[in-house]
Amino acid sequence: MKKIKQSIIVLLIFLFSFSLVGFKRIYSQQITASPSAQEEEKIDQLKEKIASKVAEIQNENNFGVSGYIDNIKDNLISINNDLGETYHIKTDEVITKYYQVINNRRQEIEPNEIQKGDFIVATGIIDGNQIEANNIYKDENFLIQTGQVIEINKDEYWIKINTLEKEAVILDIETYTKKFLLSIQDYRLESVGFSKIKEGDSVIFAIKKTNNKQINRASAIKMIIIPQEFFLK
Amino acid sequence: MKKESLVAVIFGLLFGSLFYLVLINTNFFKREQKNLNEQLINKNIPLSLSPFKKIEDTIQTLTIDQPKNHLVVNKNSITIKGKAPKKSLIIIQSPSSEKIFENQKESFEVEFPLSYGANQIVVFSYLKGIQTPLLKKLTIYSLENKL
Repeated sequence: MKKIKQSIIVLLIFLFSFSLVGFKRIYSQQITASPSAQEEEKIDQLKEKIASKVAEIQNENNFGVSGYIDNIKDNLISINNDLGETYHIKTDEVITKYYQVINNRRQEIEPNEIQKGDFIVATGIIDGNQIEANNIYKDENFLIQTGQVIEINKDEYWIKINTLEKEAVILDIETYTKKFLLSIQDYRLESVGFSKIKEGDSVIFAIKKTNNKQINRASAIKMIIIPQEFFLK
Repeated sequence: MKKESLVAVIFGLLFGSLFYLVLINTNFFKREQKNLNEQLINKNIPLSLSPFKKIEDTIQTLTIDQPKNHLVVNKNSITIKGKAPKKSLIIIQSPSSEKIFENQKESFEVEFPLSYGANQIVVFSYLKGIQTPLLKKLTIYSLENKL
C-alpha cells in the first residue's frame, strides 16, 4: 500500500513537471507569435515613412539650370546664364526629351528645334557645372528691375529710369504694358494710364530678355509705380 | 587754499578735459557701449531698458530662407519664407504675378503663384523713407507634368 502511494506521488510529480514544461512552451510560442504580426505592421509603417521622406528630400533637392545656348556640338550644349556662369549639358538620343513652353504648358519638340541663342531650362543629374539632361525646355527669360523715373516722353510713350545698378534704361510703354499704381494707404494696386507716371516715382518693371547683353531700351511687360510720396512718410 | 593746491587742481581739470576729448574722438565709448549691450543681451535684459540703447536693434537685411534658388517643383505655387525689417513694405514680383504686404514681424511667409517653366522672382523690401530697396532674386522652375 505504501509502495503504491509512493508510486502515485512520483507519477503525480512527473505529470506536474511535464505539464509545467508544456505550459512554458505554449506560452513562449504565443509571445513570439503576436509580436511578429505587430512588428510587420510597424515595419510597413516605417517603410512608408522612409519612402515619403525620400520623396520629400528628392523634391527639396531637385534643381535645374537655365541660360542662353552658346554652343551646340553633337550631344553637348553649352549655356551661359545672366551671371556669366557656363553650364555644359550632356544629352542622350534616347533619354533626353525636348519641350517648348507655350501658353503655360509644354509641347514636345524635336532636338533640332533648339538653336544657338535660345533660352533653355535643363533638368537632370547635376554635377558642378555639368548636367546630364533628362529634359530640356525651350522657354522665355525675363528681367525684373527697379529704379527711379528721371524722364518722361509723353509724345513717344517712353520713360527713362535710373536703375539700382546706376544704369539708364528706356522703357517703351506699349498698349499691352500692364501699369499699376500702388496705393500708399492700403498697398493695393490700381490699374492706371501712362499719365499717372511722374518723375521721381519708383518703378518695378518686367521686360523680356532675349540674350545676356545689357539692356538699354526695352518694351515693358508690366510695371508697378510706387509714388514718391510713399517715401516721404 | 594754498596756491600750489589750486594750481594742481586747475592742471588736473585741464588734463582731464583733454583726455576726455581724446576719448570722444576715438571709438572707445562705442566699444564700451557695444560691450555693455552684449552683456545685457547675455543677461536677457531688453535693450530698451538699457541706458545705452542700440540704434540698430532690428534686422536691416533681407534674407530668403525658402525656397532654394533654381529649385524644380511640380506644382503651380511656392511658399516663400524669409526675414526682412519689421514694418517694411514687401513686394514680390514675377512677370506674371505679384504680392504686396507690410511685414508685420521680422519673418514672413507667403504663397506665391508660378507659371509653367522658368519663373524669375524678385523680392523687394522697402524701408520707410528710403527709396532704395533691399532685394533678393530667385529662379524657380515649375515643371508640372503638362502636355
